[in-house]
Amino acid sequence: MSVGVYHPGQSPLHRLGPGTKLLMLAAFAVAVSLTDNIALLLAIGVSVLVAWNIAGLTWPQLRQNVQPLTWMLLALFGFQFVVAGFFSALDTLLSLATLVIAAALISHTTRTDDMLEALTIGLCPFTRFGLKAEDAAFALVFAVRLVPFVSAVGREAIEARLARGAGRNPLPALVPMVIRLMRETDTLSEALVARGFGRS
Amino acid sequence: MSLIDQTLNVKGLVRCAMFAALIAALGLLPPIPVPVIPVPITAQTLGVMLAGAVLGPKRGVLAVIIFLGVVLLGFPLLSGGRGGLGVFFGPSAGFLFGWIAGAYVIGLLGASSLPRLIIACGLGGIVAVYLVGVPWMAAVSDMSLSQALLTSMVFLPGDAVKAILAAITARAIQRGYPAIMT
Repeated sequence: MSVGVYHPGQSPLHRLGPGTKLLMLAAFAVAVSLTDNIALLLAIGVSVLVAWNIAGLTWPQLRQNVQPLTWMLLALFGFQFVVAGFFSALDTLLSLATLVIAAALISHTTRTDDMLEALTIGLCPFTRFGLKAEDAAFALVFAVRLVPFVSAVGREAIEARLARGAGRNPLPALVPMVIRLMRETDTLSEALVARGFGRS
Repeated sequence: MSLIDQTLNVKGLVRCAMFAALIAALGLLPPIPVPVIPVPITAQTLGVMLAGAVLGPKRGVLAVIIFLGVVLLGFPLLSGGRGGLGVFFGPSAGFLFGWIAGAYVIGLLGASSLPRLIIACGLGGIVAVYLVGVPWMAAVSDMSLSQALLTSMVFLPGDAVKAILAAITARAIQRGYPAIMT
């Protein structure tokens, strides 16, 4: 199980509080989407790349983040070029790429724990809708822990079908898989309550 | 609060977390190429539709939000191994937010008959998701709404197949484990 995208380091970006970084990213997103000045966008893009370097992140990591978007960005560029001209196409391409890289930069320089804490604090206003922030944090961490478990249950369901000579198609295996997961859920929640979870 | 109430409350939360993990695990499956359809379909949205159909509107939405929260934290669990804040800024990020609306609509319309489940999955898993995803794509990539809609059409056949599969699967789960409806 991989453990997130955090890249340890000592840079100023690493040391900034997670809440500050998230607010900065939000402001950054608004600024980048509002401006259509190519020179300004280029300057912003370059400074994001400089920050990337300062944070001690590598170029292969940058490629990893941008690569899944390459075809989409190129298609968008081509489309905008035909419909609205070169500068509009460049504007779209630059703003999107810069935003994705800036967001990745924040993710790479913020520990998952800190991000979780910031998210929990950010969820506090929703308390009035019946959501408890610590419950939310618990659910997030628990879901991550359950992913390998769910995968294992899925594998067993597929193997059980294979043993019965039913073929390798994973979709029919989904039914016994989900039913078993829900049974395990009942056991898990009873164990949690027995350990004092959910007492208010 | 009595012990039974507590257990039911915790059970709801754990079910949502379990479904969030299911959505994540389905994203780990390689995309399945389907003949005639231009883009290979990923199983992840199947999990989103199932969450609404099996858990109902409130918990279905919560399961999707937990999953998106885990992705936001930086776990690369979105199909294709993507994760972190970056995925919420791309041109197709609106479809991720659309999942929340989709799970809600499916849960709201969801019933215990196959035809109604198919309608629910179609309206929630396609119409509601596109209602959020398409305007987002139009806004982020400076397209008009109709152009964005046209671009999204490549995903429509795959999503239609998934809506039907999700309905069939959800019905089978309801039959196999009736306690799920409580």
